[in-house]
Amino acid sequence: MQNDRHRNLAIASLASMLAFATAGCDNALSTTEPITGVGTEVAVNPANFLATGLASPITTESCTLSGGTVTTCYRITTSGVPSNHAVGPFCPTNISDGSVAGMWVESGKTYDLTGAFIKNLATFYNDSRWKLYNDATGKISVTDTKVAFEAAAQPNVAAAYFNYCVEGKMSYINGGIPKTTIIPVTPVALTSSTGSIGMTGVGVALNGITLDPPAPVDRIKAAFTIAAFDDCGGHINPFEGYHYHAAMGCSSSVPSSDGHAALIGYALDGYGIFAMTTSAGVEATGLDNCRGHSDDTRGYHYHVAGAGENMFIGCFHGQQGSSR
Amino acid sequence: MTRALMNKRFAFSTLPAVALLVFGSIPVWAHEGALGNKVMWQVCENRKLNEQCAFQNADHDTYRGSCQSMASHLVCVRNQPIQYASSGGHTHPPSEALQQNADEGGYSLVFGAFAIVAGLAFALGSARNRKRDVDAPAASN
Repeated sequence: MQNDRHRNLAIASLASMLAFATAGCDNALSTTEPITGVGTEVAVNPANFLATGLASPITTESCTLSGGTVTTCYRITTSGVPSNHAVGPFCPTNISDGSVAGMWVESGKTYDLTGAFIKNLATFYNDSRWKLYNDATGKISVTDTKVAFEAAAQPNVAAAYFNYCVEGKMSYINGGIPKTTIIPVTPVALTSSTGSIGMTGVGVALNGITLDPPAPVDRIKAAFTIAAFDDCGGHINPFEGYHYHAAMGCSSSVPSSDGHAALIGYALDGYGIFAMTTSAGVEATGLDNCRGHSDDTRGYHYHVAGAGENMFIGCFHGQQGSSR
Repeated sequence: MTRALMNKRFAFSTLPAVALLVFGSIPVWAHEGALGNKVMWQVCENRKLNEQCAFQNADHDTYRGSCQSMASHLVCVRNQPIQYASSGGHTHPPSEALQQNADEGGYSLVFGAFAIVAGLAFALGSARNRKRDVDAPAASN
């Protein structure tokens, strides 16, 4: 009896954990047609996603959102490989290298990763312990093997990999790590508060690449490393694969006919994520704390922050699906 | 079957699930600790959720928004257009900008303390005046 109770408890624990992890999983039909929105909420249009970024067709299924609402969600399984742009370059190889490799972000601003930038890091950060290059040759220490990459791209960086420009290659992660995002077909607004950003992706770009929360830049800098971003605002890590931390205009986008900023992705709560500015370079005003607002055409939607801000949105307006 | 054995079996049966939940679903590297750049969470260290915040980059461009929770840390999320400093402004390393923000935080604390002391003094003064009014004999017509 006691044994049965323990076994049942264990099964229930496992089931609830898996349910939490998957946020609803009964597969249903593959879909290419958008489902009409409800009320003022504008539904996700699966046709906006680049087919070449998907590992399998988008399907619908029953799901339970973060706020407990049981609804219909899209299951978006992406390949983890940007099909519309190259990955990298990330790090310059020599301090004499004048061309721009990737970029770095600091205090709201982006910086081109050139040889000169790497050479100047001790001055830039006002800390003489920064030194990523060899005095005699000018060669920059770059993680140029899988072993070096995995050793440097983790929280407890071994001293041997201090002062490295960290970059990965897609070949180190078997060509790409597929990701599955579950988002409600029609967003469901949170009623009493907003949802906070966690450790997992905040959404998915239309080219299938995950939009991640801000990179922990100061933890990265603690080992005097630069986890270089490419010019698309993305980089690779051994666990997440290639992902974005900044919107640089590389994702596929759907332009707006009324001059509004273009759609570039969807958040985990199903609301559209739009570029920061219109094609004329004008920023949206009247944004709420999540960086969202409403209009008659798009309903509630977000505008991404600037590339140097190392983030996309500030919080969730609606109940979220999941990303894994 | 002994109770100890049953407990051991229970522990072994749930261990994989717990391990999956704790380690399997949480990417380790890119999302440990406070997210974002230091200046963006430093300005929210003494602020509450949704409280207004602002910081500057090395070019003195100003970013205004509110403190939002990201992975259990408050980060300043801009929700107003960037206020660009006038062209030709000098640049300096971000560490200087960080210090400037820290200084602004310090000024806020000093100002806050001053406001509290001034408020208490005002309240005390008002109470004394009221007491004096009560104690004073009523003016006769």
